Amino acid sequence: MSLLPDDPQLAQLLDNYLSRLQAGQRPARDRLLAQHPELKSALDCLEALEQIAPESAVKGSGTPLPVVSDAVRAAEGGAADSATGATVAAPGELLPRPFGQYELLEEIGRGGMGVVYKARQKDLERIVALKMVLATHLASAEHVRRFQVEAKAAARLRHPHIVHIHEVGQIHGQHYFTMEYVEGESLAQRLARGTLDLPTAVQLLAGVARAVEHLHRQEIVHRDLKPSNILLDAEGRPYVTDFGLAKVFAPGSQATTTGVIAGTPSYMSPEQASGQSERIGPASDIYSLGAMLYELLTRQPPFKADNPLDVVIQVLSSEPAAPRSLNPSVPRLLEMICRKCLSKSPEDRYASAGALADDLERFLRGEPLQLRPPSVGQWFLRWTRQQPALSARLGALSLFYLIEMVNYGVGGVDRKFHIEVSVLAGLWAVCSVICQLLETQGVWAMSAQLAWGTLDAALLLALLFVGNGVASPLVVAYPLLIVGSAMWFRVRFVWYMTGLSLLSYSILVADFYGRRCALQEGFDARFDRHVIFAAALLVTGALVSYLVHRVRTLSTFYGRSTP
Amino acid sequence: MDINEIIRRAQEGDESCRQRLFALGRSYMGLVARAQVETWLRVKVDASDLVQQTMLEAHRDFHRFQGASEKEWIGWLRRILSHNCADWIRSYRGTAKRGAAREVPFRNVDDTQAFGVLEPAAPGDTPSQEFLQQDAELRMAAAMEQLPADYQEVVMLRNLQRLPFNEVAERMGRSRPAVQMLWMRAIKRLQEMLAEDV
Repeated sequence: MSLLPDDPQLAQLLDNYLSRLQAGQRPARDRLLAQHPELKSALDCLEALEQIAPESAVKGSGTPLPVVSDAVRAAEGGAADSATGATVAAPGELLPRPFGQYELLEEIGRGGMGVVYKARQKDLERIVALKMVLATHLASAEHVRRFQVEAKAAARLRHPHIVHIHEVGQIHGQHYFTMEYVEGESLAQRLARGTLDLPTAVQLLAGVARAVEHLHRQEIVHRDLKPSNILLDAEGRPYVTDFGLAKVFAPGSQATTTGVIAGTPSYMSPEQASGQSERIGPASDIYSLGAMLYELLTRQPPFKADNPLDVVIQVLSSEPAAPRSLNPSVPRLLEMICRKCLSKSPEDRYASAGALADDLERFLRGEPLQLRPPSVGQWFLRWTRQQPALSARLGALSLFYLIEMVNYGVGGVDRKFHIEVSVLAGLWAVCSVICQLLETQGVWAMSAQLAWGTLDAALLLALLFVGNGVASPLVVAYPLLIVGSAMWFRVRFVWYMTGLSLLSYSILVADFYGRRCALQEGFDARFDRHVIFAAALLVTGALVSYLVHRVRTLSTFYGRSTP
Repeated sequence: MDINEIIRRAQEGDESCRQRLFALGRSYMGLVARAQVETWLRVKVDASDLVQQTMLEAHRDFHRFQGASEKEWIGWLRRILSHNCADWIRSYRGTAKRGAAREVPFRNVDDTQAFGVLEPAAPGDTPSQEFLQQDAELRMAAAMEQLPADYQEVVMLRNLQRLPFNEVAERMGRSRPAVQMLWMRAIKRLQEMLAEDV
């Protein structure tokens, strides 16, 4: 098969492929070829040509190219004589180099938005941090306009804990802005070196919260608060940076859609993680402040998982482990402050960053907080989110037991039966609690899970034996067992539970025909109903495991696209 | 004879193998040199003297070349080239400032001259025969040389200078869909030429 040169769609595919190649990324060759096997030799061609093309600065480093080549070209326009000894090679070798009225001294960071340089502003003889915005982030004129508007708004801000923006501009088509240069390190770098003592950490976060309060007063939502966006000067004073601009690059531009998943969602509020952009507001920043407080207290962000999708799922639906369970020396009051910030619903968090700062400062002074303990409802919700498997079982058991109680109350069953059922239900509840406890101990997690599943099946069988066996309506618990096993997102476990359910059901069937002649009279004894039931169990197992498989695939897909 | 053999014999002092080796490298160098200086200067230029100088230095220092494979050979040439590039660009700018004498605006370029850089070194060498044994880079350079001028240009701009199509269209004075289609045809052609070679 050969390539059709007149197909604009194929042209687009090839162009996208080439752009990724040139950006130093590894394009998904196999995926593309699976759909368009005829493109193979064309891709070979593009790759060979890319080999010939001049060394690109960023090849292999995984960072997109355009900004660098633009920057090189931009610099080239500024001064002809800068090329001393250097060639069109890596940007590292080109520094220092002029850029308009600036001289770029060294690269100090790379982020989703672009490259940051330490630079000297020649006319004012001052050192600034200069951020080049990746060309891919300003794809359209509209983007450029919004970037300018946002950056200019940010430039009007003055606050002792905010990195001041000096200037926004464009040199040779390369958009950039300059900021106050903070000599020091980011909070992320600081945390990597070791923990901060408690009063320092609280003081620091209070400062950041004050800065964020100031941003909010100017109607700017930071949207991307995280330790790497907090700079610390030599005295350890915090400065918030990179604010407001996140909005410019928010959904719509593909670069950020992937960026959201590719970046760390650990500090992201649930409304951000779920992409509900209309709900993002000051409260989202308060969540991120809480996530940072959590990390300051426990040395880890609230949610951690191997791939970003799992983190997103946790951010949306689970409750972080209590800070005191990770670090017993955390004061109870701080834990409460932290949890309030991390509430899933924006309304349950602090009303303002200022209120959070107030409470942190009160804590430092040893004064009573304004914070109220969570209501019973909030506490209960939080607890169920922390142990979903346990609360699902306890919920189902209580419901079942309630029905049984009513039944007993109206005289539907005898005393002996009621006692037996109560004992079994109680046993089941106790076993579940034990399994939950074991499961949270990392080492036992896997065996606890298997044991739990097996216990579920065994106790259900016992309950049914006590009752009417296969004739009892309680057999609907079998499909529930299978569906519930999906909570662990493991295909094999789903099949394991399906197998157990089938086994347990066949024991009941054997019992029914072998021993319960009395029951057979009052109940439809034809065999086909059991076949249908077993088949339905099998189908349920297949469907559930298919769904689990799909979720897994999706999550590895997002996991892999992370650079 | 494959290229590793040619390299080995040239290093042992076989003059004809050495000539062949340099002939093999020349169209490749021409392509890389042009891609490099044009990426910097953003106009079409004649960099044949840069290639000339690089090849001369390579000849002069050939005894220092220790490699044994095509990759190493290409890498060595590229290092000499990149060393010369900066000086060349500086002196080019100097000349350009005085009178823009050497700057050739693209649309007025006579196609036969513009690609002088890519002409084979020695007339009797037909690249497609020589290149039978080599891997993609040298063969690609040889194939590029045989493309029609506008195909060469579009590949030069889009692939070797890594310009987006908007800019390619602007530089070539054509519409974006037109250059995109031209590019697809060029890729198709290259692909066919490489397939024939093998």
